Amino acid sequence: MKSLTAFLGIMRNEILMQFKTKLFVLSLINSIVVVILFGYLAGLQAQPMNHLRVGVVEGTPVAEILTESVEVNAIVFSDAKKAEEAVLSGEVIASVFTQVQGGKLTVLLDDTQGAAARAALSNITTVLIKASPRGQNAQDAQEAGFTATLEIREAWELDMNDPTYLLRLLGAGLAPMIVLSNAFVFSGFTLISEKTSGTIFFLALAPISRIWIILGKLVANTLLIAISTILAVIIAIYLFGVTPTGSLWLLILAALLTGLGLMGLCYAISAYVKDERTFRVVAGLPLMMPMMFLSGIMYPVAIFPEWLQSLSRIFPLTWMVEISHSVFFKGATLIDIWQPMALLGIFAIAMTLLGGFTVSRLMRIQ
Amino acid sequence: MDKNTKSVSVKGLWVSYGKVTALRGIDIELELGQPVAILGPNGAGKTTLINILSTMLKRFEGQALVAGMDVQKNSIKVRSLIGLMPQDNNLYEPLSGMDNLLLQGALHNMNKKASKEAANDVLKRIGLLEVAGRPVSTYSGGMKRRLVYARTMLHNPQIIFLDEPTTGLDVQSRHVLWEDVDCFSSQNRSIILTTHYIEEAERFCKRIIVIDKGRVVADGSPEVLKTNGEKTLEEVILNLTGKELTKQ
Repeated sequence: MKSLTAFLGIMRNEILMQFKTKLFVLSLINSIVVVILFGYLAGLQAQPMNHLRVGVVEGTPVAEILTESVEVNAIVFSDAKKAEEAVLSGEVIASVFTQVQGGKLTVLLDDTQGAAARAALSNITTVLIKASPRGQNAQDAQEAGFTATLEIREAWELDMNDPTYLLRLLGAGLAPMIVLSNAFVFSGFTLISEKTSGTIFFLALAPISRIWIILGKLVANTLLIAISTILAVIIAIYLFGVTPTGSLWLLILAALLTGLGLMGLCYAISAYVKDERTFRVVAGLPLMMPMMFLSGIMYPVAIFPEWLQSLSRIFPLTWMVEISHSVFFKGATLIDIWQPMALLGIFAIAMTLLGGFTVSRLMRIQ
Repeated sequence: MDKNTKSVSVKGLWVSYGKVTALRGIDIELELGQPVAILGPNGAGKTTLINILSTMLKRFEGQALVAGMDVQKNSIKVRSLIGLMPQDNNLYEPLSGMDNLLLQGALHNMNKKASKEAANDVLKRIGLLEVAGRPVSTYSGGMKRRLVYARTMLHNPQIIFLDEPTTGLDVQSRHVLWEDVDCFSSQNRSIILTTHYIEEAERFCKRIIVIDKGRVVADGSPEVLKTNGEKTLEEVILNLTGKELTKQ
């Protein structure tokens, strides 16, 4: 009871602080501005990728579909060998082969072309999906006879040449962006401010276990992150024109786990750095920036070269973006996204323990 | 608390920060209800001693008891009995004075009504009741200092540690604060004060402990300390600790 009163007091204080310092509102506005500036405006300037030359083999059903499509600049070769040589010589960026009708589909990519090659692959997949009877997703394409040997990722199910494509992608990325911003601001910058002003040492004088102090802060900020996520979805619906087809609760759960993990991590870092400037250098550059640009918030991870895709999967925010895209575009259930959710759960537990330990230690030293 | 219990009892207290030794085997016993001033030059070890007694610093050698309880083993219980007014105004500046006090109440297991009543009472005593709803960031330095004092007293502690409480306060504010401290002291509660305003220590404390370079160099009433013909306590301290500026 004694600890509960203190716990609730700390929660109230934390929430009041985030509102009175306007950090809650500023974090929300910043996230929207960043997403629009770096994502939407950059997207408006982006060139359509339908000029990319793709080789097809004469007489195959895929060739027929791709040559009729405006989304792919298909070059027809008389046999598979010539189509393959065209990729190796750089004449085309990719070539598409099928063994027999209804058989396996193989795409040979010129990987030296990086993002352009990925975009070409995305266009090929999109065209094939559209050509399938239902034309909804990769599953439909497979049922139509195109058994892709390549892993078809969720981002590719969005048509990159659709004018609203990027807007919809950004809408789904808004919640992860806000969680990222909130976590950094609510935990890292706030703890440094508490260290500077000495209030963290005032809290350390409370006649309760320090675990309650840290929990009070974490729970309060997690609650704010949940509210932010709901606001992000509302903004996504009304500003970005994208509505989640899956359960909103899954997105909120992912946001809470991501937020807890990132806050724990930021607490751990900010407990050791001296001031805000050092925190920006230590946490901002190597953590926040790569997560912002590489986790799929603004650009689909699928357009990155393989090595960058592998790198992006290290970031927990990529797992949340994967969940967000699944919830928005695929109507995902927990069974569909249990893997990234489980990873986020492990990340949240590990980082909460790390953050709690370091903050508790920070209070003890003084 | 038992009348025979010492408010503070430390034996062989030794603290080092890397190569710097802050306390070198200090022994002190303070009676309950006795206002005591701990004086000494900057870096003498006063704040380190207070940090240990308020359970904030746990890495030390020796024994430290507050109200008969070991500060290392019973830190939570000790923290519930004490109030610490630190040197810095560690307040939540964007929040109002009242919000700062309500948090202190919650941390000491007081419900909102009890916290508010206690806050109103102490704010009235130190002349901040009218500005209680204003953000602390709009307060003057002196007002912030008084608010820190109010927060220290809110939960009615048995022992208070005042670490340079009147630094930056004007004459009126000092007067209000010392009147309140006097009132607290008359209730048989303990005050442990560190200050550089020696005349304040002399006026409010019956016992003066002088620390220099981590050691107790004098201990007694102001009258007893002036045995070598010194006219003021300041002269006593200068004679004991030297006139050179501290290097630590």
